[in-house]
Amino acid sequence: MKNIKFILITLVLILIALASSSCSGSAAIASSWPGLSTDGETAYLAYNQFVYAVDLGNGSEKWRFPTEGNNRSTFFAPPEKTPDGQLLIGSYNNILHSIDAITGQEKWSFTGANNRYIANPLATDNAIFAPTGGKFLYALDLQGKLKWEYETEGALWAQPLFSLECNCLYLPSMDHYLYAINAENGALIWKSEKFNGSIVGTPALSPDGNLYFGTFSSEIIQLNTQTHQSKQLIATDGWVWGGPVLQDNRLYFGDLKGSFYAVDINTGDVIWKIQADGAIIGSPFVDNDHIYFGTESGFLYGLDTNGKPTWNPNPKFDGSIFTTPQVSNSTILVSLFKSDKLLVALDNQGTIKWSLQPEKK
Amino acid sequence: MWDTIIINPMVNTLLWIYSVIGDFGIAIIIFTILIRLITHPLTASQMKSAQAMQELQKSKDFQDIQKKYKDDREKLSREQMKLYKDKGINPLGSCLPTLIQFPIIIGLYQAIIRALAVTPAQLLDLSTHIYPFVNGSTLIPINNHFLWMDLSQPERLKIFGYGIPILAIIVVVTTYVQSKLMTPTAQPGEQGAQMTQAMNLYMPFFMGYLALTFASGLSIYFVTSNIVGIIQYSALGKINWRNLLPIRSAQPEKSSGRKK
Repeated sequence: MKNIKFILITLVLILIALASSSCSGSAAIASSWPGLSTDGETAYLAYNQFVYAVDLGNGSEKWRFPTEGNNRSTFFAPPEKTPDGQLLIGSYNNILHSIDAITGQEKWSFTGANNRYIANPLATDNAIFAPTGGKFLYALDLQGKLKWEYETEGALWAQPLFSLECNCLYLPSMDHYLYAINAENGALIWKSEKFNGSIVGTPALSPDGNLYFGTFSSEIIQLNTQTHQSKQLIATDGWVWGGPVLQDNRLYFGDLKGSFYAVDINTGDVIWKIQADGAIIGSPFVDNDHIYFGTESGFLYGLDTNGKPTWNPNPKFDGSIFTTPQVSNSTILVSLFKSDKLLVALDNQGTIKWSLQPEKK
Repeated sequence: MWDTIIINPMVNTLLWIYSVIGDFGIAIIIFTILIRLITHPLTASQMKSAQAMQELQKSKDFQDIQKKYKDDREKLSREQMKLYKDKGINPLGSCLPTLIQFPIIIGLYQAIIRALAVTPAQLLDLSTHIYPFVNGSTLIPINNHFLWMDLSQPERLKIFGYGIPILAIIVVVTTYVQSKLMTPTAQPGEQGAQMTQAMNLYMPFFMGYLALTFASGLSIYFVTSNIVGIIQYSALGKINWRNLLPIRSAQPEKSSGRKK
C-alpha cells in the first residue's frame, strides 16, 4: 500500500510537470505571428525577442533591437515609421519604444500602457496613436509624452484610421463597436451600434464618407460617418480578420474559410471570388494591378484586379502566412510563422531572391 | 486525440455555459460542479474502497499476516494481496478515481486558457475548435474579469499597495480542510499513517503553489472542487469533523521498569 501511494505521488508530480510544460502559467509567455513593414529601402520585422531591420536589396541584417534579447520583452506588432524618422515598436510587455530607424538605438519609451501592443500604432505629423490589448488608446506627442487616453469596452487589436477631414480617428474594437474619437483631445464624437462580432481590422474609408470593415460574425459592414447608419454590405463564408483594402470602388479582402473577394461598394455585388487553400488572416496588399495575400497553409497568392493569377502554381512556403505581404520596388516581402525562415523576398515572377534566417546572438 | 476527446468538449461546454450565464467565472464554477456530479459514482466507489481497506487492515487476519511474515516482505506482500482478493477488495480502488481527476485538471486548465485567448494566435486557434452550435463570434472576446480577478492571470488582490494572493490562500485552506475531513483517523503505527499525514500536509501547499503560479481560472476550479467534495462526503455521511480538532492520538502505556 505504501508503494501504491508513493507511485500516486510520483504520478501527480509527473502530471503536474507535464501540464506546466504544455501550457504557460499566465498569458505573459504567449506568442503570435510576425509584424512587418517597409519604407522602400529597409524591411522592419518584429518577431519574438527582436525587431530586425533588413536591407531590401540583399536581405542582410542592418541591426536588431534590442541587441540582447530577453524572454520578458517580445515584439509582434508591425513596426510603424513616423514622418520624422522614428520607428515605433510596441511590445508584449506593455512598452512602446521609439527607435532610430537608421541606427536601431532607442530614443525614448512609453511605459504607461496597461496591456500589450498587438496592433501597430498610427503616426501623424504631430502625434502617435497607440491602441493596446487592454482597451486603451493612448495618444502621445512625437517625443513620447502622453497627451490623452481613451478607454473602450474591449481590446484594441487594429490600427485606427485617421481622417484629416474631421481630424478624428476611427477606432475598431473587439467590444463589437467602432468609435469616432477627436484626435486632438480624445473626446468621443460618436459610437456605432453594436455589431454581432468583434472588429480586428483597420477599416477602409471611401471618398463619400463610408467606412468598410469586416467582423467575426462573417460580414462586411458599411458605416456612414455622417449619419452613423450601418448596414451589412455582404455576408462572407467565414470570420473576417484583416481590414479590407479599397481601390477604385472595390473592396478586396479574405476570410477564415479561405474565400477571397472583390466587392463593388456601390452595389454590394461580389465581382469575383476565389477559394484559396487555407484561412486568410491578414489584409491583402493591393497596388494598382496587383493583389497579394497569404494563407494559413503557406501559399502566397498573386492576382490581378480581375482575379486572374499572376503565377501558377502559387509559391508555397513551410509555415503560415498571416502577415500582410509588403511590396517595394518590385520586391514582394512575405513573413512566415512557424517556419525556419522569418522573411522571404521574391521577385514578381515568384522567384525567391533572398530569405532571412536570423542568427542567434 | 487529446484535443478531440478532452479539450474541445471542455472548451465548448465552458463557452456554452458562458453564453447562458454571461460570466466566465461563474461558468467555471458551474462546470466544476458538473464534473463533480459526473464523477460522483467514482467518488462514492473510492470512499467505499478506502473504508473497506481500512477495516480490513484493522482485522485480525490482516494483523496475523503482518506478524507472521514481518521478516519476508515478498511473502507478506503476496499474502496481503491474496487476502484482498479473498475479501473482494481492489487495493487500487481508492486510487483510480483520484487518478482520473488529473487529466480533468490538466484539460480544464488548457480549456480555460484556450477559451480566454488573449493573443491573436490563441484566438485563431480557438476559432478552429468551436463547435458549430456554439455561436463563438458573438461570445468573443470572453470577458475575463471575475470579481477582482483577471481569469487569464495569476490572482492578486491589491491591499495597501501589496498584491496578496487571496485565492491561493483559500486553495491551501480548502484543500487542507477537505483532506483532513475525509481522512479516516489513523492510529500510530498503522500502515500508511505517516504517508497519509505527509500527503495531508504536502498536497495543500502544492495546490497552493499551482494557484499562485497559474491563471486564476484554475484556482476557481480548485476551490469549487474542494468545497463540492466536502459537501459530497458530508452527504454520504463520511465526514469526520473531529479530524479538524488538534486532538493527540492515544499513546501506548509505558512500563515503569520496576518489579513489584
